[in-house]
Amino acid sequence: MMPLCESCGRAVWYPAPRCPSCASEKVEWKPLEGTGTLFTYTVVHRSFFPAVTLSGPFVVGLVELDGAPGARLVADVDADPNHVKVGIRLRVRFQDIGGVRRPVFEPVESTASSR
Amino acid sequence: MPYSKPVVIAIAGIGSTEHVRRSSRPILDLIVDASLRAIADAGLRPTDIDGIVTDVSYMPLRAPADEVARALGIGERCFTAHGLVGGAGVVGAPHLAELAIRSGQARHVLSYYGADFGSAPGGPYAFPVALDAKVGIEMPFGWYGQPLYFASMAQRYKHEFGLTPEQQAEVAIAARAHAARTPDAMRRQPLSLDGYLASPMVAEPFRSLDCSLISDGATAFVMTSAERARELPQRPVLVAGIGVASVAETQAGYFTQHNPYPATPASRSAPRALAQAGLTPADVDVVEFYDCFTITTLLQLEECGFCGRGEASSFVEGGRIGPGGSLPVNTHGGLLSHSYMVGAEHVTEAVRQLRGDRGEGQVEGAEVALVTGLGVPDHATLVLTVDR
Repeated sequence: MMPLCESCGRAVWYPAPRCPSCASEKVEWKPLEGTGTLFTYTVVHRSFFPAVTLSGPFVVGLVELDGAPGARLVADVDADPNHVKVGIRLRVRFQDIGGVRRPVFEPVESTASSR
Repeated sequence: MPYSKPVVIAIAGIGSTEHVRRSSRPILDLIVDASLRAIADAGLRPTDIDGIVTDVSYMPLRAPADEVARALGIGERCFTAHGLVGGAGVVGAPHLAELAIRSGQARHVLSYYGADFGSAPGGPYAFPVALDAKVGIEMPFGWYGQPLYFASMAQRYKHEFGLTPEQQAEVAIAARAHAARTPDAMRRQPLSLDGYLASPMVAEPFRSLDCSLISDGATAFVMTSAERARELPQRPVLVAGIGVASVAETQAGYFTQHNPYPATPASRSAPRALAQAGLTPADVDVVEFYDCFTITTLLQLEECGFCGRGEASSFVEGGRIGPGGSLPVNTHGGLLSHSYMVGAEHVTEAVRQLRGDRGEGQVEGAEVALVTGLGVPDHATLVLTVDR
């Protein structure tokens, strides 16, 4: 789901009281297809959280979701760090972590690693 | 064109402490030390200072104007401003100082920046944690830390225009070569391409040597009218052009939502500063870019008009921005090799160059310097000149 402006159709991301594009107050959370395109990414090799050690490099990126023009979602990308590329198509999967549903994006063509 | 009136102020004094990874001295002590040096360099006493301008994001928390003013013994402050964010706040300090000086509200305005990023808990990584949107919708997915934000910009730049590790290395090696000619730079040992490539990967495409140093220290400078500066002991350095830009994105959302991407707001602030000075990029002898990461230098080369969009990665090849190159950039070593004084040391370095005081790091015949400061979503550009 994403907050979308009913007047101009753009996504209002990060959330704001009104649509920054057209000042409309008609901004509603609407369901999306859960697919999108990887706009950019980085493969992270070290942690910036104190006392957190990484088990290995991970991919995090910005996804342009289908149906949410004007927004980029920060996304955990479950892809092989050696094969990830700008422009690949992704689909969301929800992990259940202790009752919390956490979105993870996987490549649509099966280049995904198992994690 | 906004801000088209000629600027009438000068930088009359500069001062710095030592810059180290971790200092045993409190940040206020460092700032007072740097400020006293700047005031003395200008031939003034603390009681002559009647205005203070610094950044809005860190100094209000660690060394606000009231604390610094009392510690310095400056007496009455007629003008006080915590202006733009971070590097834009320090490099952009002349923007507000000029308004105060021109209107007669202040005569001698001090700007300072102190860093305790080496010793304060979290260092610069404490900044994102203070922003709710980052904690809520970025950090749970591992998107945390300035190296990631800028690495993702570099990755997109690479996708659009091409960017090789050797081209990134040109920026880091040039900064180090300038630092080798700068006595108080933190990293002075020469850097080779092999040395760059051997530095550990942090967030692709960045290795550790693509990233800013982390330091403790302080830097300050004193501004006054050009007329008054001519009565003071130092050779005046005129602030000929000032451009500030604050784009319509938040500090929290800038690194993921801002368009164009990747970009800094230099494309707005630099043309204003140059137009006000009546100069073009071709007139600039020395450049001091806010270089928190190698990509920031590349983007600003394009945004300030030194080359076209997508051309910076090839522009820097062949040592062009290093010592003796046709466009010396960050002649003290910048944030990459001198210290992380968040732009303040970029201003003082430009002043030293234009005074002709830089010893073996002197750019021969330097008369025009361009200085930038970034603190998203803000950016500032200064054009400084000798008093012709």
